[in-house]
Amino acid sequence: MLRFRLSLLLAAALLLSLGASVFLSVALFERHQAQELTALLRRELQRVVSLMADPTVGERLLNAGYEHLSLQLVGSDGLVVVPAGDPPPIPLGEGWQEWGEKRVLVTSAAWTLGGRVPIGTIRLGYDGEEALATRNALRTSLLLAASVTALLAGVVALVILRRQLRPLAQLAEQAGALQPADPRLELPPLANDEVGRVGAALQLAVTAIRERQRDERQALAGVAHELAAPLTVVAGQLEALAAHDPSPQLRAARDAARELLHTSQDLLTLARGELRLPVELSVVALAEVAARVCAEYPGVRFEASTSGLVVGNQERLAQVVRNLIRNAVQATPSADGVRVNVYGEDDAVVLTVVDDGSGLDDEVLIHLFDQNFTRKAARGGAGIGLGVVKALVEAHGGTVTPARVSGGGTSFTVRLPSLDTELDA
Amino acid sequence: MAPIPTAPVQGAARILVVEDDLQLARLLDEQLRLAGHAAMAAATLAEARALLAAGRYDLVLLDLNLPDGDGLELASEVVESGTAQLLMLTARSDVASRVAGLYAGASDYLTKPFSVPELLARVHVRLRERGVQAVVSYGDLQLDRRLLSCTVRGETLHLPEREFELLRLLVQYRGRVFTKEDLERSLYGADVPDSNTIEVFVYNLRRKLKGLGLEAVIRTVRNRGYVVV
Repeated sequence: MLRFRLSLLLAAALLLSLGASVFLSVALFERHQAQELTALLRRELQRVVSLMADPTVGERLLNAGYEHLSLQLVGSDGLVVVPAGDPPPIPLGEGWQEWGEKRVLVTSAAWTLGGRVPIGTIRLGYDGEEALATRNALRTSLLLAASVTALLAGVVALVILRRQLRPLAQLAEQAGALQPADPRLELPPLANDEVGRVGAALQLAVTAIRERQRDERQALAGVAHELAAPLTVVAGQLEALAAHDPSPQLRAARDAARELLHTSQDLLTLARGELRLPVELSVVALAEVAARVCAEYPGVRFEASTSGLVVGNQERLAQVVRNLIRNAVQATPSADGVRVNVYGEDDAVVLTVVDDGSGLDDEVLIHLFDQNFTRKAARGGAGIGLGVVKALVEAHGGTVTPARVSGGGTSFTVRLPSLDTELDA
Repeated sequence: MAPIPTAPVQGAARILVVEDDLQLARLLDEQLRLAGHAAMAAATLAEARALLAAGRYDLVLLDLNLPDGDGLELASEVVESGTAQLLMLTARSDVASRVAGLYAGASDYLTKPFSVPELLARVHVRLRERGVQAVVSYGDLQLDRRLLSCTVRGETLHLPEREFELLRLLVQYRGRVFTKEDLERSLYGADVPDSNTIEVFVYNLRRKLKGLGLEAVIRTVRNRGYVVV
């Protein structure tokens, strides 16, 4: 989700920058602290040096003891003279040094007798444990504060983003429902912001697709329209000739003309957008329709255990049956291998068309009903017919399911709601 | 030219073919003659009107795209005169839907391209309906168009004209699902009254038929319309 990712990124960026600023502040603080302490130490050292000029005062001073401060008088041989007990000498140098187990800030000055004869060094050490602890505590609390701030900022960002991105989420949902094929679906009015512009661009694209589809459909309808009359004449004359002349050439020509007629009817059905809503409905006996269509294809075996009353358009249902039979006949070497069956099942009338052909691959089964899908194999053109079948069956409130038949072959099962389920009690 | 075999029809009919595609007109003319009918052909609206004025026809086969006008005009004239059956040949679906709405039950149509055997079958279905128009029956129910009466087992009830007409349409074209709009246009033409008129008629008819001992004659097809099964 975009808003989660954005909030997380924001929180991470904030944490990073706050973290960096914590380290910078601590480093600056550390430098400042060291400077201050060093100055303090130097002043103390000056004081010690001047006081040491008076031996009695020096004695008192050494015994007085300072909080956090350690004073050593170290001989020129490097051994600690005062205080007694051979403590490790405070290291020489400036700034932070390791002294035993402690970190101390050190400074030193020459130890002289009477201000002239050098006899060693006066070394002053400031115990830094407390200063360091303060610094660490500061860093820890600053880091904690940064983390809490970043977390809060992330949550706030999530809430804000969620609110701000809601129009985008809505647009995504509406765009998902927008089908180019259904011109009734439009995007609702949009705000004049970035989201609105995305929506407007989408609407524009969909409109362009629809116009293109409409143009193509009209072109197709125009072509089919031009072909309609001559095709009717050719098919009609061949029907008349073949009815009384048994020559196989003539029968073949008639069958081809019939095929052409049915394919162009499919194309027109598609082009006219008649798939959605059959114009004229009546109570249709599916078994009668199927029997009539089967009679057009000698060899196809037909059986019915019910008259199969449904509400539908007789011509369109005949087209469904015919397309399934045409498809099945093309899949088999002989029409004898095609069986058509009509029976009742619960609230449905079921029509099955089964062939004993070589069957179909999974890939083909999946794409079987795509209107423009045509198998690359020899069975060209069946894609349109099956696309029409699916659309028509669905317009009748039914379903069509292809399946592989064990032992080879393919079956199509059409289920239509029976008349009884369509009638109000 | 050989005839295309079709189911036999009783008696020859006079058929007018109105079609501007000459090849198609010739084919239809030939096949109708070979099926035993007396066929005449007209290529324009004007020719068709002249032929209709000069003689009586049992059925008119009408192409709607004619060079001198819209075939729908002639279609209304034929339907209103009530003398001939009408079978329209349309090329476009929008026309088909208008036709279905305007002349519900009074006519039939085929969309081009069509198969000629299918056309002949439809022609014969229409011709079989001719002559049985004055009295239509459905089981025990008899509808007499001249008396606007409906009779069940000797008991007779007279109906208001439009109620009768609605029942007659449903009974005569039993099995066909009539939408409310189909029925409104059939009963009222363009001046469609209140939106629930048809519901009221159907309610009244059901009540009256129940009084005659008939139930569930007019059935409602959910979201579609009414049907007599």
